[in-house]
Amino acid sequence: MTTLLKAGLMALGAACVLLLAGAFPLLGAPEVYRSGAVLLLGAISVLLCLWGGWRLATGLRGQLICGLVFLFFTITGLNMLFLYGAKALEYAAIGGAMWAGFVGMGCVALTGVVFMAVFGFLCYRVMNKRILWLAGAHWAVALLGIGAFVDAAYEVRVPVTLPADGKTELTELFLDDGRHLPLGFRLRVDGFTVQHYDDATYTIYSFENGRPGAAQPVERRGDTLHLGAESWPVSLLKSAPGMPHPFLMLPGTPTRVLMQQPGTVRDYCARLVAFTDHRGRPETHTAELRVNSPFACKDWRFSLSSYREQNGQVEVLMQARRAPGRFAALCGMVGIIICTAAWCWWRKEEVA
Amino acid sequence: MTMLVYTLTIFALLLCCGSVVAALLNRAGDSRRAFDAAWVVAVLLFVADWVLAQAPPFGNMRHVLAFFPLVMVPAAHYLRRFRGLELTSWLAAASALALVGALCMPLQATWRQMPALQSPWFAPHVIAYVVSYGLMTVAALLTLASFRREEKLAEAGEVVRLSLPFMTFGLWSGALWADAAWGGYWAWDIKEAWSLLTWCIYLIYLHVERYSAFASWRRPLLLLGFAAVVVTFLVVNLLPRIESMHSYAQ
Repeated sequence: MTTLLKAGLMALGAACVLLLAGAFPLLGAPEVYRSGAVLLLGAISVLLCLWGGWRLATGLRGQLICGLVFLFFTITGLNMLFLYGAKALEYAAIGGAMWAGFVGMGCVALTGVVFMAVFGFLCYRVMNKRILWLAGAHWAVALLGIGAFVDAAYEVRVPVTLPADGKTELTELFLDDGRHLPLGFRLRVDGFTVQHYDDATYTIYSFENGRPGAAQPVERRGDTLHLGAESWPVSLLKSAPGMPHPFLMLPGTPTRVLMQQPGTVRDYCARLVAFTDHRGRPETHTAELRVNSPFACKDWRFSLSSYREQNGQVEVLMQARRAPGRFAALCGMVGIIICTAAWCWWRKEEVA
Repeated sequence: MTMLVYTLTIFALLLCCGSVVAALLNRAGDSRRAFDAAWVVAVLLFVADWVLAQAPPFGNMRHVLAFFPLVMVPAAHYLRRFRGLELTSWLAAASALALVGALCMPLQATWRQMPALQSPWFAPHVIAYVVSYGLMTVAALLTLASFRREEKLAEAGEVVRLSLPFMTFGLWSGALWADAAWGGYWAWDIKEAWSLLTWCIYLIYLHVERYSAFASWRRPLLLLGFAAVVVTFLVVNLLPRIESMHSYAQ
């Protein structure tokens, strides 16, 4: 057994101990993850993986490097297929003038298929030994580690709150240490929509002498609301300025208001407008920001975290992030997934 | 509908137990048939859960545990046909354990898929982990059996090699998903940390597996790995005092 493997085992064992120290369900100390010990162990692990991959591919290093490049282009093709294919389907669903967009996006998606086919075949031919995939998995871990290191050193992550008023513009970010970081463009939230599931509840609030009394839950059966012998169609409830939810003023005394409480949130979406410039010419980009669809502009990515309503005004809570190591880290993750699967599931030792 | 869900769960559990009993009586054909029947019942259970939840039923622990037989039966066929391993009864035993767990969980009929879970990564991430945890349970059972029959240890290793890519996909696809949903691929959340710890333990196992100098490490590592699976999957989700970004899985 080689010294390299022994060192690798020690590094993995140390990683387990540190992870256990931080993640023990009740008495762990998660601070350990941002300590120098983890950074040092990460650096050692990256070096061991690079060296391990190099040694594993002895005599086949050219093949390994070519194979990984072909694998990268294969994944790029797959990515093109998914991204542009989804966009093409979206445009096709809209129809009308968007059919031109559908054709354009569809052609790019098909180019992705060609990329996948050509480079996938080349990768399959070149990476024709199981040990190459094992070496590839080691280098993918190293790539992930390098990306994570770059992010640990240079990543900027700032929570941002922006009212959805179509007026307030974000031009710089305020860091925890008091510094201001210019964005290099202007960002505005033009609109915000929330969709709810159809599980709204209804309550009648009574008011006696201007003071709120008891609240009574109302049962919904189909399109009608029932409370004892009384019933009201749901369609009678209306929205009004200053009222957070649809309501119905009921006749008689004491004063009673039938209020709708919104159902569980299904989705929310902020309409962003970014004002940038390209070689001195102003450009405007609009995008719909959703929870799983971040918005990228220049070096920054904005993720939608949540929203809140204050004084009748919706405020959008986002996270702005600039992570120079992100691309390397994500490539490393995809590489680990593919190389590990190929190595573990390879049936014959040496035949592709 | 609630009664139907419980009835189907119990029926699938009985069929899995029947598969194990048939294997113990050396009736391999009956064992396979019973497990295949359990798969059909599990499909019906999955459909019933989907109708109740009005969304892909991976919203709580009961949903996920009830999904185990659905992936274990194809895994048993794959292992028999392509790896030459007859492990039907072991996979049936693992499925039965999961179904017992499902019966112990409260039936949360309605489930509203929150915005963060409305992602193309959701189903592949969960299914990969279900396959992986199910197979790692089988590997742990085989490891225990290897104390009496040595050859079971090699079978456990084979099952780990089949399972690890699913675990790898589950772990890193979760990171890719988090990059889109939470604005960062890694947040050192307790569930993430335990998932990484579990993965590292199985990586150690794969590194030492081939070396006779480490022969005595194999069983402890496989059992330790399974203990980590249990903590990751159950303890982190069920301990009420733990705050996690994955708390919607409780």
